[in-house]
Amino acid sequence: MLDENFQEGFEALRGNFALKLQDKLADLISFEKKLEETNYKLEVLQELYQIIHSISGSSGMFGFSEISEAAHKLEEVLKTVIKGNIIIEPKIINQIKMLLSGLKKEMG
Amino acid sequence: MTLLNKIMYVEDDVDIQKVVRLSLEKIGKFNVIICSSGKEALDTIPQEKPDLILMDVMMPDMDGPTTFKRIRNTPEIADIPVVFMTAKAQVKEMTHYRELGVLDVIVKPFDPVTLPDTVKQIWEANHA
Repeated sequence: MLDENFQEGFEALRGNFALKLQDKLADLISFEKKLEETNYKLEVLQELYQIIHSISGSSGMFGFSEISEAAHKLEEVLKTVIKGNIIIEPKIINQIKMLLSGLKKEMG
Repeated sequence: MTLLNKIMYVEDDVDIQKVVRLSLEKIGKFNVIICSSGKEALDTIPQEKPDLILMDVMMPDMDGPTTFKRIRNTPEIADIPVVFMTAKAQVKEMTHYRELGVLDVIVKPFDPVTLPDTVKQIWEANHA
């Protein structure tokens, strides 16, 4: 049988994380403006990658699998761009926008 | 077999730190030390001497592989086994991590309920 202290502690942490997700969503919306203003500059995409990586890992850990999956898809594209394997062209920017939109939808 | 008691977890994400501590302490009954960066880990390992180090791969400033290499290059702590914890990675990346000499790689996100068993299995497979 699962440790009761674990179960209680986990539910408390999960509830707290669910509240934080709304702040994270607000941060993402603000970040979108920064992406537009800097025309999806590599340095800004690197910042976005850190944020998305964190959302992907932590949301999966708390059982928010749809959010984790949506974040992971975006994370993979950003990783390829950052490694220099894809040129930041309009097609890629559109893909990032689409995946970001999907992630926000899951978080909303 | 050497008993696994003290585990260090190196992770910059505070939410994940809390879940892992809860899981390893309450379910696994391990003694857990948390470090938030590679640098903090390198400063803390010599005094704490954990039996095992679980380490996130992607951390700001000093990532997991760099921290791991520094551990291996510091004679007094060089033998402490390290397990990487990483987001779903490509086979090539996983192979690269293993070739560095880590004990194993755990893929994130993982189930906190089964994490202690996974860690025990990795330990037992390498300390039989």
